[in-house]
Amino acid sequence: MKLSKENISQIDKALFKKFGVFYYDVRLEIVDHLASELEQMEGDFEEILPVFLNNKSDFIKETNLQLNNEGSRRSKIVLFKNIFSIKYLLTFIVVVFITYNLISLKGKEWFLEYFDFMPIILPAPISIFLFYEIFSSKRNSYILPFAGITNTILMTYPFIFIHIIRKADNFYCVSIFSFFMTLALAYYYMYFFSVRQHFKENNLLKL
Amino acid sequence: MKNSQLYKGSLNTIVMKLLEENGRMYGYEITQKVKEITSGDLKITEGALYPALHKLEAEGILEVEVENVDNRLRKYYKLTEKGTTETVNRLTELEDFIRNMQSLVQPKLDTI
Repeated sequence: MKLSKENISQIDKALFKKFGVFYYDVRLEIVDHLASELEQMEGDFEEILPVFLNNKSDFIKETNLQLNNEGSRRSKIVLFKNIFSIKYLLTFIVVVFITYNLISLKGKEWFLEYFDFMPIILPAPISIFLFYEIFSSKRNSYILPFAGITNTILMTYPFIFIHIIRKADNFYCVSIFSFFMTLALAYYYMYFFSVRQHFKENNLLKL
Repeated sequence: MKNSQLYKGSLNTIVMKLLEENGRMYGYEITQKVKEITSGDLKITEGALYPALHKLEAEGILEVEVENVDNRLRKYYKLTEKGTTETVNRLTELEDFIRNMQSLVQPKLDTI
């Protein structure tokens, strides 16, 4: 049987609603597989679809799970490759230099009064943007893990490290603050030039 | 894949060999091609195919092309330059394995 656009959309919706296939890039692959198999069958699409989907339940669930894990794994690789890169180290050195000079010139109290929440305020716009992308219809399997891990690391700052730098001496204060500040700056770069680039190369952002 | 541990480690090599012969293929096409070549004796476990394709893609062995086909988007997989070299290596490895297994299982054939 030949499948219409509506038929394809029906399969897509069923995958999302019935099987919880949340990500667009994962659904795309499963939809094509199921549609190719359905095209080899004869009969009425509406009658065949529910039974067919039930028979394919294991395949759908297994593929969804495995591809979600793969998306998450790839996001982590891109994130940690960036954190342990020369670019990150150079940015860290520049931030250390600026922070150290500011503290030397104006004092630690002044610095903390104006800048202590900066590593959390700075990445807020990108976090809001990623939050929007997660709830858009074309969310990809790398967004949630990438945003989740980066925000988890950043959130250790207001809950743990900010209290440490308030009490610690200048050396620890500069190092810890600079690390989180660099991560906050790199968050933009990593998303737009690394994570998106990775998926663009695989043609997944053109869709 | 056919219910045997013997076949499970060969999925990647099978996929790479098929892509080497056919240029580019999509997931369902790969499952059907294996079925056709082995006259239905060997069936790829569909749930294992896509994760394997994605892993090969992440390793830089495969690359992807996306096209609009019959009212839907389809991902075609093809070998990269690195993938083509890797396919030759893996096939040689597999042939050695088969030869060694044959020597172990049917030693008489070697002595004839």
